[in-house]
Amino acid sequence: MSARLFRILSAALAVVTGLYFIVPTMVVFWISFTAATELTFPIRAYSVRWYERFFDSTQWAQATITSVLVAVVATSLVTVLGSAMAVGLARGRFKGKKLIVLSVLAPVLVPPVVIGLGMYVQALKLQIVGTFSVLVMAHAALCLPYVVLNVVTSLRTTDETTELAARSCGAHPIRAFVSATLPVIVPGLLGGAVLAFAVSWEETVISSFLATSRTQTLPVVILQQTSYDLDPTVAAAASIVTVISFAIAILFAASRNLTGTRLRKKKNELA
Amino acid sequence: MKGEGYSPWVASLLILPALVGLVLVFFVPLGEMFARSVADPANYVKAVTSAPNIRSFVYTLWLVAVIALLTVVVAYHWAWLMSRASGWRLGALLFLVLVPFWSNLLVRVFSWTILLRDQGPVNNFLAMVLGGLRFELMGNSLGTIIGATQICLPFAVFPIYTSMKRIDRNLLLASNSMAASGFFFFRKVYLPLTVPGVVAATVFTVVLSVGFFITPSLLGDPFQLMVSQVILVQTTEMLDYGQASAMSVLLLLVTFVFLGVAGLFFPVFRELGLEEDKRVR
Repeated sequence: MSARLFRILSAALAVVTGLYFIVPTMVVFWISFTAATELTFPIRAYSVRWYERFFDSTQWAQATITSVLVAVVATSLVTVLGSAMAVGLARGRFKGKKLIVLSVLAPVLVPPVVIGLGMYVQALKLQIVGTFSVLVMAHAALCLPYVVLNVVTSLRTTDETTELAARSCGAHPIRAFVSATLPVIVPGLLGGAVLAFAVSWEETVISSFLATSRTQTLPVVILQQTSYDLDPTVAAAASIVTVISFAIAILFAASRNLTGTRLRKKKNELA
Repeated sequence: MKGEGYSPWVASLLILPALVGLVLVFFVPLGEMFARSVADPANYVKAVTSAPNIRSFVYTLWLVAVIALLTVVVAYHWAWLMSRASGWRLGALLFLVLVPFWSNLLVRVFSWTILLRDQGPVNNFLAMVLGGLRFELMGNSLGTIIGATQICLPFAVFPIYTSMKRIDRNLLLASNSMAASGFFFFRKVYLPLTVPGVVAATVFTVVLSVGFFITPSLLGDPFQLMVSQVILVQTTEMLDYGQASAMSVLLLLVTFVFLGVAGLFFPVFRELGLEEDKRVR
């Protein structure tokens, strides 16, 4: 194959792949502004009626509130517990770390339907199906790996000598931790929290198992509506979900930047 | 360097709250499911002898293989483009692959249901280019493959990109100066050096797609279900929790066997710096 032909094929594949990446996300925004009652192209007239319908509906409003509340509570819970766990894993000296890390990773490795079925069967037994707290607990378990991994990674950039130095200079262990280690993990902790929020915001399958009509999250309602009929309100809802997803992505990038700036500052101080 | 770090007592105080929570919320339910599945051995007999169940397993494995192959090939090309780009070009390539990474899976699948239908934009475009030819792009395996590959791609691009960036520039220059070029160079030098990234990409893709449920439900063949869909039908329609649990345990087993094999190639613990026998610093 000549180099020229290779270059043309590569460029063609790049264009197709690029479109493949962004078109599905873009199309939802575009079609959510249709004036028609069906989700078809081409769009002949534009309107915001489906957004009005979204904000007027109690079902969508309730789902939005549930989604936000579940994500906020699960994220707060898992950020505190997960960061503590990460510090213990990275700085502790004991045997069996591998097993603990593997069990923390398990929620990512086990197929969602399997987790959903397990939690559903257990929740049936305890008669807590459809409660707010069962959703929060399920989401927290799913988010835990992301917080732990992020904080463990941020701890890797430094070692424990600073904290040990502070302690040997007579600082109380807690004070030594707060002034030497906590500043290092803050960016990782924020990044982990943002990822946790994103995971909870995105979660659909397990919530479908656990939610009842009062506690449905936004994705659960979207899934249900998509399987029944294609009212363009779903497109408006999907657009709103996506806007928030991108806001989360920007927050995550900002938390990454924070890590970079801090490291650079540290380097300058040392120099 | 012995004697560093927190004592086991402090470490367990930090770790236990999250670990106990995880066990209660995650592992106890999985245990309950396992208990249900083995309560009646007939569950497993049915799972491995009934024709629809076997078919769904074979179909799932087949689909996962196709999705993984497609994903790795397309991701390899994109990662290669990224590894050679810099400045705004790299920024643009990165942005394009991050859009699906951050947007909601369900939203994208929903979008495909609009794009891929018989009178949808993709078919209209194809009909225009190919002179009236239209295709069934969803409601079959093709629909699942189109949707699932797009979902897996971002997870495959980054590990491959990382392995490409680790390649020593001088090595590439040396091979070039020795006139090793084109396909020979790719096969003998470049590809072997990126194998770790390809393995990681394959692991992520397989683990993700073996459990796909939303994608095949909305885009796939309504008469040939993936294992996840069968589990849901057995749970919500047949109310046969024992049977669904047995199928879940088998699906888990498939995932873990695959991970066990992959783990031989992919040093997760070393990457995280949690390897127990710490290397000398």
